Amino acid sequence: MAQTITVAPGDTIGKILARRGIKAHEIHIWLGKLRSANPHLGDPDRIWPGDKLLLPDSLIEAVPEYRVWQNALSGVPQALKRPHHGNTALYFTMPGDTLDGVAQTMFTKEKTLGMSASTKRAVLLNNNPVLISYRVPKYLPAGLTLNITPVMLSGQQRHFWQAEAPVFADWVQKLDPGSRDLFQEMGPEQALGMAQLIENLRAAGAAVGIEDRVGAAGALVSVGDGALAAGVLSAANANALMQEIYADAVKRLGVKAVTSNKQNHIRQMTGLLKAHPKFPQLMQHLRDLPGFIVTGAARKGAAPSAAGITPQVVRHLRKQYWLALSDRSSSRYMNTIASQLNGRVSLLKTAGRATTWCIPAALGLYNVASAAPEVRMRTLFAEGFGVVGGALGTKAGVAAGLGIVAILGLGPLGLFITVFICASAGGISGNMLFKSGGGFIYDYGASIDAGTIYYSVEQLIGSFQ
Amino acid sequence: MSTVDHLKGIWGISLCFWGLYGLYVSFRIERFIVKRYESETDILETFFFKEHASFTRYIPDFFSSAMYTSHLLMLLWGWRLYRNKKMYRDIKDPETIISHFSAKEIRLVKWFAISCAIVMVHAVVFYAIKWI
Repeated sequence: MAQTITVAPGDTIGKILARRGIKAHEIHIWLGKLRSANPHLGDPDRIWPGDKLLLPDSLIEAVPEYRVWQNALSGVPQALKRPHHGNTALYFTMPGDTLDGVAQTMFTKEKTLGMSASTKRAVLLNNNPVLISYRVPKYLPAGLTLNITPVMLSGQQRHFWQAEAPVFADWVQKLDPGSRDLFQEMGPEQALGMAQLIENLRAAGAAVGIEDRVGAAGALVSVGDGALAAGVLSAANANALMQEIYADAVKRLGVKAVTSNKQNHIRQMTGLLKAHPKFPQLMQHLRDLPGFIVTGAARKGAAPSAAGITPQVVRHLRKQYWLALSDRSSSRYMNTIASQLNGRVSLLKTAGRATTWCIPAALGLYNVASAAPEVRMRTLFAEGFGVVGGALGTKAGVAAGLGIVAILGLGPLGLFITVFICASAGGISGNMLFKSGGGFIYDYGASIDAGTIYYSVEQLIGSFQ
Repeated sequence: MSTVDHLKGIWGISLCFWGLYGLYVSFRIERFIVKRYESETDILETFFFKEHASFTRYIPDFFSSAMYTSHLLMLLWGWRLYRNKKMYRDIKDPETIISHFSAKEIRLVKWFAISCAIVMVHAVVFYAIKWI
């Protein structure tokens, strides 16, 4: 819901936005929204005490959760600066901490001491995506909880690339989009090799006094003795050729190739590539690429070799297939729905909690109230366990449903439906099972104390017959 | 009191014990697994959660924790079964995910699966007793 506020003496638009968690570099985006929401102000850059400002919906809900925690943690004493949670090492930032400072001081154990500066930074960013927004101002706010566990860089090298962005950005920008994808397809070892090379170039630049120029893309290329420039060109050419081969491949293999499993697909693609008339030409371009782009050889110091079809190339081709045939993920619609809910997801979560606990409990209590006085305690006992069993059954059903889906290899919609059905079935059967279990326990206790008990006249008569 | 009555009573006590224990374990798991998956790591950025189970973050923690638990169990116990599945195509090594959890946390996750299995065995016994 939109909110109207009255401007107080001493307020500026900057202060009003900052109170709602907007960072200085984001203010210009929100100013536009504020202007369109308040046409009555004329020039909203000048506001006066008593003015009414209408804040757009999204502005009110824009305070991210971590910012709330950040405020809450700002009073953490020095003694708690380096707590541990299981194997996860944590670090609370203090005023004046910088990204590189934390990376350098915290990764000092035997295993991590030898890591290069850029790798340390990359690991820190990989563990703490929140830091990406603090790369530009450099100084970190106090009270951030950082995970400094030196985990291996995983399949998500996005943060790694973001860590190296200042160096790579200009250079990578010169590549066409397809080739950029190829770079991002690299495994962690290749990416590390690349980072190592860039650092060596920096050091080489520093030695001959052109460090500042090495930082820029042009100097980087010149220090690389023209090899990188040739590589950029070859990457573009290779990419153009690959695009052409995709088109042929889609024509020849069609949907069949896409729906086959990965191993089959790689085999088909390899065969197709080798038989393609333009294959030798493509290989020539790949040979012209710097070795570290296609292989991990640079890291080991071996001579670059790019003469084969590497998994990276095949993955690149495969990715293009999926894109070409519009393999859309559920995140496309799920995230849209979530953004339209605009912060009201907690309402849905509350409804979910009510369905799990409150509604079964209310139904159970109704059963208890409407039971005959003789069996009221027994019903209470059984219904209580029924609620617990229903919740546990639903939860176990969700978990089991996910496992079944993964074995069958179903898609997003299949996953959603299966999990939903398994959760419902689990909830119902769990409720029935535990209700009976609770009943058995009650009967057992009652029969130990006072012999058999009878719940109806018919049962009593039946026992005499 | 007949033997069958004894069996029923003992079965009921055992079922409810394991059920309550499973629920207790699941609450303990919920305390760390939701945080770890949703805010402390970028596991939700993997294809599995980004493209296949993207609704997970919008359901109550009680259920999303079950999905995360199941995901972790697939990596822990069933990697041979799942590694060639499309939904796991960006996970080269399950250790990259597992290493975000301590040994104690992994133990809890395994206990949840074990207690669920025990409860399922009880369900089978329940129907067997009904036949008696």
